Amino acid sequence: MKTTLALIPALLIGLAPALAPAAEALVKCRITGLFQPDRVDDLRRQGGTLRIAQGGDSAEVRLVEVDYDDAEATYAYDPDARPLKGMSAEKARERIDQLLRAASRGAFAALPPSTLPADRRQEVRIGVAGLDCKGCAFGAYRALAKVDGVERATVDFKRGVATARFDPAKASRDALVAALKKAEVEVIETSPDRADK
Amino acid sequence: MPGRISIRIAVALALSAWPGWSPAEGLAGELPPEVADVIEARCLGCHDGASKRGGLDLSAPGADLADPEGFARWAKVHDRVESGEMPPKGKGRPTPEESRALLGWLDRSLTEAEAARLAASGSPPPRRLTRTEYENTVRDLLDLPGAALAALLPPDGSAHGFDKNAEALSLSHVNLAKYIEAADQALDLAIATRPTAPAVRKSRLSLVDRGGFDAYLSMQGDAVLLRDGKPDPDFPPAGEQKHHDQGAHETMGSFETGSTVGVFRHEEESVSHYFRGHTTFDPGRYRVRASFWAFQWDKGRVFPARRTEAARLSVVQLTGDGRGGQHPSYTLGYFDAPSLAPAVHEMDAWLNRNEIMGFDVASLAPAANYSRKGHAMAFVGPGIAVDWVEVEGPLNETWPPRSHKALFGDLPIVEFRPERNPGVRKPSRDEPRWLGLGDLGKNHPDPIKGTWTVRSDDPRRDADRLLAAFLPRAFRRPVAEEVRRRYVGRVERRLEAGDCFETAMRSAYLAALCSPDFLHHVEPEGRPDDHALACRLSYFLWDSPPDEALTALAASGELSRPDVLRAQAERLLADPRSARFIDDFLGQWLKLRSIAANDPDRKLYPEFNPYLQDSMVAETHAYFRELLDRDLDIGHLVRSDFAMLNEALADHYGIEGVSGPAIRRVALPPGCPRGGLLTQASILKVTANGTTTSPVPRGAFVLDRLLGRPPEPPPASVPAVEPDVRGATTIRELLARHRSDPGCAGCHAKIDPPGFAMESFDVIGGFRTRYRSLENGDPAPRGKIDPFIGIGFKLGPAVDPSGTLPDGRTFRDVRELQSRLAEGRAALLKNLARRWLVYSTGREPGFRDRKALDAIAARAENRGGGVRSLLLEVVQDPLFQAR
Repeated sequence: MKTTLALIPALLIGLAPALAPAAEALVKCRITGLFQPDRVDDLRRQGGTLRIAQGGDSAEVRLVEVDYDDAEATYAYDPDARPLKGMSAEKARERIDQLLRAASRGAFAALPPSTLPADRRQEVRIGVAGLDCKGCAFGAYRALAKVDGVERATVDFKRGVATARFDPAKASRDALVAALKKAEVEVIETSPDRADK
Repeated sequence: MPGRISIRIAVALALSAWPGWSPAEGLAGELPPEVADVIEARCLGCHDGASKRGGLDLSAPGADLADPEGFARWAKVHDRVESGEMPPKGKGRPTPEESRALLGWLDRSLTEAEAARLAASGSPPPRRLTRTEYENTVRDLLDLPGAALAALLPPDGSAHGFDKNAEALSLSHVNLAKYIEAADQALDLAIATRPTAPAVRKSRLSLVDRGGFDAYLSMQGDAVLLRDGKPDPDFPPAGEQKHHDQGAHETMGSFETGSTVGVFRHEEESVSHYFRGHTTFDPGRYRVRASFWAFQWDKGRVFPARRTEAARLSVVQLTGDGRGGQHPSYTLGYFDAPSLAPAVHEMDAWLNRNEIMGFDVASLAPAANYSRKGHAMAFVGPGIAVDWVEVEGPLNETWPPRSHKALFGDLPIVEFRPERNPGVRKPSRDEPRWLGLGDLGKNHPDPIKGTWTVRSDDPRRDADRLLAAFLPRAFRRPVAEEVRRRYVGRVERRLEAGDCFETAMRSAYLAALCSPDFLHHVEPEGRPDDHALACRLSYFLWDSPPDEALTALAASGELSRPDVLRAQAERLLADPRSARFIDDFLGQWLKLRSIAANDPDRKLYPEFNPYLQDSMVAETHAYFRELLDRDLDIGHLVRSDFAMLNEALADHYGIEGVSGPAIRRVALPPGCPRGGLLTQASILKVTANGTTTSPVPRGAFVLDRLLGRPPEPPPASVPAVEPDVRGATTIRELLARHRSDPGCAGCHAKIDPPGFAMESFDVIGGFRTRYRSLENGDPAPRGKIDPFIGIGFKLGPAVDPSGTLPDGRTFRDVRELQSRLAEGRAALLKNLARRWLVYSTGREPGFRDRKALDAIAARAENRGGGVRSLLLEVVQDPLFQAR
């Protein structure tokens, strides 16, 4: 099931198409660090409002939508605000990425959206053990996320399950398991949760 | 009669060798015949040129009394004859008349010889301040009560048992360079360089933080995070796999939740518990509060603790790389951590720049879960919970602070503007090196813009006024106008050279703090005046300079009145500063400074830890304080029906009913082998080597430090007796072989007996009836050793604590030895009086002072023989004022 978490009141009362005022520019990013659902709240707290400053001017960039399942977020800003005026969407994303990393001590990043077609994606579930808390889960997530080709990963330390969506041309289940083991995460090879998609 | 002739020649040679000595004036030419007869009849049988028993030849020329060795040899002859030790039993004893004749002649000869030597050598040089005295003096003078200066100075030498003796206090160019450095640092601390006080911050600190050591420990299971008295659900105790990737946890904020930290693991070489959130920038007084409690941990669950545990708070000076020393700079104290109920402790502390707070689970047995399968979730044992530590400050009652006012009075602090001070160099300001954590820390410097400095509208007059106030305080006596003018002249020259007022004054203050008048105990020729007396009294009982009240009495000339002097001694003893005296005097007299000179063998003495060691010293300090405060009888030095204990010591001594880390008076149960200095763990530790005990150093300690009869040093050719740690042979058996050598037997007959009785105590002061062994022996019962401490030692041969004193009195154990020693009250009184005189005057009482010492002891005995009475007799005696 795909879950969309909208962050502005307008969405909550059924005005989904109008995510932001028409005058606002939107930037869609692939967010790293969303490894479990409550991380959406963390993202909202740490990166809900970012301020881009240049010279004596500054402009606000607001998080307007988070798609947890695809680890995507949409930021909105006033394109006429001086620091952002004339800035390309990609350049704006880069600035958002810098600010988000700084605000979250590197726990979140705003990368370009995925370009990998859906039919070329592979997703695996791996049983893991010995993860006691959110910090441990983040450690395991980081191990998965930095494997080349991984576009999305989650870790549920309570259920003992990690998932990863990746480009099979670049990564493999074995590579992911190896990365977890290298991070001293115990992998349960025979876990009943194991179910490669 | 060759012997008689030789003696006459020897004495004549000795006396005539003194400068200014004329044989016609004294005994040289005429050795009384009755004396020569006694020596010939009673001594030469063993101590002639052929026999030379004990290396002593009384027939040979060369008994030169001007030579220190010769003088000491004859003084020893006097003492041995006086005590009845010589001639020995079995030899012909001198008649009372013979003894009187010999002793009377020796007494006169030695007294006059000593007087002549002292007269020829002139006044002794002034004593330099020891580095402890230096630090205390600067602290009091500039109101910088915690300034750390002593460590900047080279260690002092020691003579006659104390570092206060002029003979040991040389002054080299190295000392001077260090004095300049220390004075410069003190002035940096004292001078205010801002118009308003730094902002007071109150920071509540957690023991865990990003990058901190306790974050690492909690990852491994050597600490756990707690919330509401239970494991923190957001950071569960490290279990089967422990927590991985500390950086990931730090990024997730796992250690910034304000959780309580439950700690199991001790500070050790690779473990330090630091509160890194506060790194002091502004040196000064801070208020420190801390909340601790204890718990029993059982595989993830929290239960009531077995007892009130002891939590240690310390201050740690960060080093250049910001890591801090492994061991704390100093301990703030040991505090109650009651079962499950947080106890909040509050104290004031002086913190220097780059000092942070440290912590330790002082009373817990060593535990290490990082290598345990299952980590904290498999551990059962005690823990101490640290809710938080608060640091508030810097606290300044006034601004500018009193330290600044001591130098610049009420002159205003203004911004230095070059345009308003043409041709004047602005004061230099070093950029302080601060090792704080930056954004991770909770305190930050409170900078102020601009360069601020004192302003004087009339620099020359202000310089004169300020120096007139400062110099007498610094030099501890009135300062002649001519001397003051020299310092004012220095200020004037600096001002003319373009220095601002602060810099010019600083130059004069620096010179004063490095001058002989400051660095030495300057006393006038002849009998010390009242100011010198005030200094003697305050450096004796406070280890620091006289205060205003004492100075005023000195100035009025009243201090030398016996009743006033006595009252002042009482006042100084009642002041908290007298703790410096207790610490410094006992540190040297009883060798407590050496308490950490060795680490006891961990296999033989696994129950030893630094908390126990600190408690040992605290016991002896508190005990001596009790003797002074209550004027308890001198016999308490060796025997007592009470002890000053905390729970750690009480457990160590096997005494029930004492809880917590605070030292308190505890009545000893009947039959208890404790009581008095000899049975205190501190004394027993400093007289052992960490692995084994030997009756020799312990016996020598008793003879020298308590009875004032130091044994002869061992002959260079005789190897030390090495104890057998395998447990096959007792030290007593080894010593018995050693004593079979007649050359060794004489001294060991005196040294060993007290040491035999003290064999009832091991190297850490634990009572024993059998020696511990690592090889041979029976399984050892645990006794009062913490159940969480592993035991690997065995019980070897039995201890035989019995012995016979040189006078033939026997004892079965240490209690009987204590009784025997307590009978010798005069020796105890005389020795302590002599120690105090050496400590307070920097001068070893000579042969000629013996009668005065006897009189001090007798007067104190007439007043009940109390320790405080003895001290008061000492300060009122002319010897206290002698040079």
